[in-house]
Amino acid sequence: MGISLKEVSFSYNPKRKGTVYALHNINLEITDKDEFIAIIGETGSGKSTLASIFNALKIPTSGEAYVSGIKIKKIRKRRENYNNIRKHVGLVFQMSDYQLFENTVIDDVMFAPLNFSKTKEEAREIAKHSLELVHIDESFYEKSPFLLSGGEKKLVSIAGILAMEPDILIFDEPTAGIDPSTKKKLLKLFKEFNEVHHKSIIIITHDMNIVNSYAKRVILMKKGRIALDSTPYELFKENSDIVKDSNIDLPDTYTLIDFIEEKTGIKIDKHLKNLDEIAEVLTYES
Amino acid sequence: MKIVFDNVKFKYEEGNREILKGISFTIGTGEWVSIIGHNGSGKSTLAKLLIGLLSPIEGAIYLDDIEVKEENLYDIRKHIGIVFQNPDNQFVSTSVEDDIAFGLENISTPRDEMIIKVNDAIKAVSMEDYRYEMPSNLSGGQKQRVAIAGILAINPDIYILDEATSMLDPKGREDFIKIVKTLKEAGKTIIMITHDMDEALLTDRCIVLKEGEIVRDGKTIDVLNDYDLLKSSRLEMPSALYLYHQLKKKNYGNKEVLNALWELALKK
Repeated sequence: MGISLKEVSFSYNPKRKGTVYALHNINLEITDKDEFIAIIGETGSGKSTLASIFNALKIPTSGEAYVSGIKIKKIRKRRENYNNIRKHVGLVFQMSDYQLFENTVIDDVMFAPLNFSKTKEEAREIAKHSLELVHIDESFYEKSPFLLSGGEKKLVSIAGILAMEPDILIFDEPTAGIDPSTKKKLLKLFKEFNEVHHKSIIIITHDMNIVNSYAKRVILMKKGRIALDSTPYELFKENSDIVKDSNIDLPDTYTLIDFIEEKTGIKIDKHLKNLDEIAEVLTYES
Repeated sequence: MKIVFDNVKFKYEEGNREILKGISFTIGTGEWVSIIGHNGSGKSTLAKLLIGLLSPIEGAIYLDDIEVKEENLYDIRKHIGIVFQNPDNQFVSTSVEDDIAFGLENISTPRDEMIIKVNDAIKAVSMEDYRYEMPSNLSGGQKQRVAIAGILAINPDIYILDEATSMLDPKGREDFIKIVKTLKEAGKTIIMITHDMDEALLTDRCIVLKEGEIVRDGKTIDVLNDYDLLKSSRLEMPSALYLYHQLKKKNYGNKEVLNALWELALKK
């Protein structure tokens, strides 16, 4: 089922004359299994607006958006809501660790399933499972979320979203302001969600090393439009003009490979995903 | 202006863990220093202590012979400017121009002088087109530029940049580094608190914090080339040095490639 956008446009103020559209005519298909997508682009290019349509936080001004077969439109009756969509698509905000509010870790993670009318026992089981997925063990259950480290808070907040049991997980700038080792842990976790649990991962990021090493597909936003929807390799290798125009970095591997070639004439395959692979190939070939 | 930390300890409340466990170092005039460390290592606390937002529970901090404490804050803040990671915390006015002027008003700058200083600062961060804009309407990167301009206008001796580039795009970061280099040439003391190892690599000296203690204080290139130290401090090497290190470990012999990587690492 997944997410399907047909000619979706969005404006914050559609009735005003000459209004600026945050999204223009977006056509997009995302499946709810095995995708690992990076959404990139300059500040103000529409990345976050796009993600909030996926999760029905915003309603298209025109065009049609379907999430798991449900059309996203204005809610007219009081009994209607988007809980069903949020069960399929979980959105983790950039400052998600500020959203913790219960007295204990386990209560915080149980909040969503309880809200989706699970019994207390069911909710606890789901919460335990979600915390297991982020490798937070039982010794944390009764701790106050406010006394955890920044990285642990982030993990608990992710478990809170996992407790809704979504097929698609969206992370908005999950690694901004996070130290290298915590960052690595998070990314390993996303990879696990994707490869072991077959969830689709959508990550909004400025970090091109993450795009290069983890994403299978990259969507480049520019002034509210999709400028490119391709593999990271195609973006960085074949479209260096696009990279420059869009004010994004090249991944470190590309910079290093270019520099080595410039200095030594040795050519290295740019499909390589990280520095370890480059080291491997260089040693193997010598 | 010399900064001295003399056995500084800090914790938020009685009974809580110590965030800084007795830190000592001296930073001389005109030094360009990076402070790196994992989340919760005490980096930002250190910056807040230095500008007097927090007070040590033990030990003392000096700028030359002025002790950093409440009664000296007016003096201290003329000498130190800080740019935080999240610039939203630092805006007070309804236009970019007023915001940059705010710090100058605080230190009673005459009006004619103020106009010139504000203009120069706006120009230095390329925000001329936005001078009458509300800071809250700007993008994250633009806000960061305005925050920097506010400090440039005051022209302090010491600049503390706390994860100041984390919200900037590549072009913004490049401009920012250019500004920092000009400041360095003008003899300013610059302290960069950062998670970005390539950014740390630009500095001359690097202090590594781990769980509230200094585990290393040395020449940046030596510090960032120490794989074991960085690993145990939950940090990582800059990419060129990491690849260099991995190749060495595998007894890779092509000197040309190794030299190229070293050259790239040293390129500032």
